[in-house]
Amino acid sequence: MENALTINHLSKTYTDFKLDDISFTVPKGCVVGLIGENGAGKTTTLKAALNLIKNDCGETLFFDQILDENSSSLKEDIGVVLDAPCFHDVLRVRDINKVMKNIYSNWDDQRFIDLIFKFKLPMDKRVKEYSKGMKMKLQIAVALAHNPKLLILDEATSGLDPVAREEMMDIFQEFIQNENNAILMSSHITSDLDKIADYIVFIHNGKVVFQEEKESLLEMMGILKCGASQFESLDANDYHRYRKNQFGYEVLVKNRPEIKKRYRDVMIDPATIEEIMLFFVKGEVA
Amino acid sequence: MKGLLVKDFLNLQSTFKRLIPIIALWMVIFLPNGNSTFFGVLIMMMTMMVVTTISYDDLAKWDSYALTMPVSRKEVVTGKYVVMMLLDGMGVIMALIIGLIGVVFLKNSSWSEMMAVLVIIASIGLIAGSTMLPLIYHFGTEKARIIIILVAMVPTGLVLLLSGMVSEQQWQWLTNIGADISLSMTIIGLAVFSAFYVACSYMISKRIYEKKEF
Repeated sequence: MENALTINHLSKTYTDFKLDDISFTVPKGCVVGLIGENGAGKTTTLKAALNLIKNDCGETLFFDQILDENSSSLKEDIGVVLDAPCFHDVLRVRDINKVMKNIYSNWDDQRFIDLIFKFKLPMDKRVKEYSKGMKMKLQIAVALAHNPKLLILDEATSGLDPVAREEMMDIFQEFIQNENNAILMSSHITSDLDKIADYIVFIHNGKVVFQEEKESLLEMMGILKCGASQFESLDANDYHRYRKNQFGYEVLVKNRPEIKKRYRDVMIDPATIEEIMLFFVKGEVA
Repeated sequence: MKGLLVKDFLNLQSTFKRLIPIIALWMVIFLPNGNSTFFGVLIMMMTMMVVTTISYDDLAKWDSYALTMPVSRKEVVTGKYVVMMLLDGMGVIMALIIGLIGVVFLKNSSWSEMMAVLVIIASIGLIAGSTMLPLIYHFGTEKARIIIILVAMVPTGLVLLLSGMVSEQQWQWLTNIGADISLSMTIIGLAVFSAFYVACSYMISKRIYEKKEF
């Protein structure tokens, strides 16, 4: 499978934070969800990949090419939504259309206007009158209107209400129908990723904890609830993390079907992405 | 890069609109007394609007977004210098139109005097703008503002200090040297110097911006 994006051994050191040897891929035709708590390094990873910050080492390949100062044509194929308002307060939709038309050579006026209508964005209001969600939708419209092959979305759905998020998920799903397209989306709203992600990359403290296929992740991992004595009898190799609470232990097991076979009398629930994330961040290692 | 210029001028549109009544008022006040002061204020103000465009960009966190588009860092910097020069040029054209009224109808100044004043002020505008841009790229708009005030105070202070130290005789000698150099030579010299200054400033800004992290 060809990759739309390949990140190899990306590192970047700040005084108080380190992005440490980040590697993962975004295969064509796939949606990759980048998860992690606030400050885990999701945005920094995306910025480093997009050359907005200079890496200490490592490289990023977009469609097997390195992105550098002279990669304008490469950037034509990438649509980015950042976790910040990016348009000037005084601009209107038609102004933004004028600007973008002169920036992207494959800008599609009609597609942009269609998306604006679809997202019910007001044509005549200035950006400063837009709500946070509307600004996000505007960025998404811009990202889609130049027909990119790769979408990079940084918390693009976090400012949206559930209805709007659902709409966006539909749009992203439609986008990914084309097998040459791909999406990398960072989010802490893991329910969105439950819906559309094919792979999950989990970043914690500036490191990649895992990149897994979502289905196998949800199939394999499980949460075992047990008392102290039962916990003692578990093999440490069988689980990732455990959490102790007043009722006993909760254990994130690596292989739910296998454990179920071995310990017939225990309760193992399937784990959601959110729970897996919580275990890795808050849980303890044996 | 064209998109970046379009963006800056669209952003300045409302500022321009607000400016028209002010300029009209100034015309009434200043024109009867000659053009120079008015030209100075007008052209400097226009040129310095490039700083406003950078403030707008900062407010919108535009630059990091723009760099995800088919726009290089070099283009962002080049764009700002082009905007500065266009604004300076617009100031000159506006001054020229208004100056015509002074020359033709009020007959309070001559063509040659007006052209000389325009070239001088346009050059000073470019020098001032080119001083600001690298400072802004290095320190950010807020800090750069304070530094500019300090930078502006240095030559003023120096002149005051020197005038206190120079005796009447020495002053006479200095003015004589000045009188020997013709006005047209000074003007051409200034224009050439400003072009050189803009080029150097551009190279410095480009280098600062290449290393910038967002």
